[in-house]
Amino acid sequence: METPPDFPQDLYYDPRHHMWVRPVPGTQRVVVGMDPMGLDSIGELVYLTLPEAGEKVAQGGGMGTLEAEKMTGPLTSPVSGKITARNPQALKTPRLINEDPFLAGWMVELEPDDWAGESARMVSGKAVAGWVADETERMRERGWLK
Amino acid sequence: MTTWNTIQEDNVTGSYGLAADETMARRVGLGTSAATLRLYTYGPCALVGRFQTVENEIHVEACQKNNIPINRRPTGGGAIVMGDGPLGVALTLPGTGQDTYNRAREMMARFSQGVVRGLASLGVEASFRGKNDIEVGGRKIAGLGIYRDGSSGLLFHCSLLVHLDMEMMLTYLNTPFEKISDKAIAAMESRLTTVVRETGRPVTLEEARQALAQGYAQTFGVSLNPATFTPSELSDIHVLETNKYNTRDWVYQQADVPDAMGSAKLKTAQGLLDVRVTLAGQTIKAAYVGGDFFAAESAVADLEGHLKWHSTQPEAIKATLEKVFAKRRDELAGLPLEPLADTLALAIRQAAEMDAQDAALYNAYTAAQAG
Repeated sequence: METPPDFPQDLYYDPRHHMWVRPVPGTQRVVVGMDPMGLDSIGELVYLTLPEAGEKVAQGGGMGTLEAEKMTGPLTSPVSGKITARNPQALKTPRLINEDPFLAGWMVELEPDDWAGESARMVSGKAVAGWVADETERMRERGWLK
Repeated sequence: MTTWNTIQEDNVTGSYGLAADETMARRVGLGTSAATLRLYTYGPCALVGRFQTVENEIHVEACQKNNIPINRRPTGGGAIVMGDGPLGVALTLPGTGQDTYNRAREMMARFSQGVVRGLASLGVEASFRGKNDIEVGGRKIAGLGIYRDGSSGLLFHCSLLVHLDMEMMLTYLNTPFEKISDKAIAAMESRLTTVVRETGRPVTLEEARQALAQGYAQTFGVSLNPATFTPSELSDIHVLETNKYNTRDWVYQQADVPDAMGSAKLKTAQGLLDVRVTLAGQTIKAAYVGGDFFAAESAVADLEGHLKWHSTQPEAIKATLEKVFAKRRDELAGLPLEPLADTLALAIRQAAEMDAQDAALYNAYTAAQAG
């Protein structure tokens, strides 16, 4: 990765796990995905499992598993709630998540249990640019950016 | 100086060996076990990668007939037959706690250095190959994988080919070859190598084990403490072995991403091209380039390595071929680039069409069930 792409300011980011959350306008639901910095770290996604509609997930707990170019492991949910949908295109073609992480590469939609409380612990709005800049600097210092 | 435990075991079963690795990743992540470097061998068994489809990778009937157990690793990558030839490496370390993925890209390169340094002490000049292999002169000598547990514990897996029974591997693994023949063995030998072959002497597993232990101690600047599993660790291992690794649900699970295989042949002025690909969705998991053209075998193996985990998009494939051809121009002079790109595209298209046919059959079947 050369420099991280633009991170939309209308999303909420879990800085530890590089997951994003987008509230769906006019509903009580949110959509979840992984941001480009997290994806760059693990490489191309090849396999993916996601929880089925109706299953419960907890913030910081498992939300499926993945196999990428460089690792396998659990996905970590940035928010607690009940799954209402999962992205069938991403399940069949996980590479879509690398190619379009903020839109077509969404992973699950869910009804949050405590959106007000949990979103307060995420990075959002004007803080996004500063967080991305700090992460970029951290990665550059470690020689991770070309 | 940091101390790691080292555990040596031999002839373990697939279910026990894998349960031990995952248990230690979890316990080290939770802080209830010390960082551990395990250097061990399996009894004969066939192991597939985390999401592979057993029936596509393994000759299940041959395994059943000869009592070769089949199991599934928590780490990714390809299928392998274990026995007294490959040396297993399982390094379990606590995650940093800073970020979940903590640059798996860099961790893979760093973890591989313990193996590379150990091999260097045996006189083998090996290097980490871009994706997840360690190679010697373009031939694979070790396969690598990383699993991150939910506790943030890390498991680094490696299978080092100290020596290899090629016929046994071809008997139990589904390879591009229809039958075991001298040609099939020669083709595999041009893509794989072993410590014994590279050193030209009968290096023992014990010698390789000591070399790798020292390679890791030097690479990570740690001291090694010979140990065995504690009763608590053994208890956890047996629970996981019973509840996960000894269940059909784990071993024979199916992924949402379909596997597909395709092949294509093309006659060219330089000779016949015979290309086979295995896909996972729109990713090339493995590619085989054969035929009767003249090219250095190690360069062809290198080319195949570059196509592993590669996009199926024709433009991306062509760009990668051009890169490898530029790097190994003389060795690949007898392999025509444009026809190779075309043959790869044909094989990929055939695999995609077969996948679509399978999906149509499945849909017809489920519709009939629903009806």
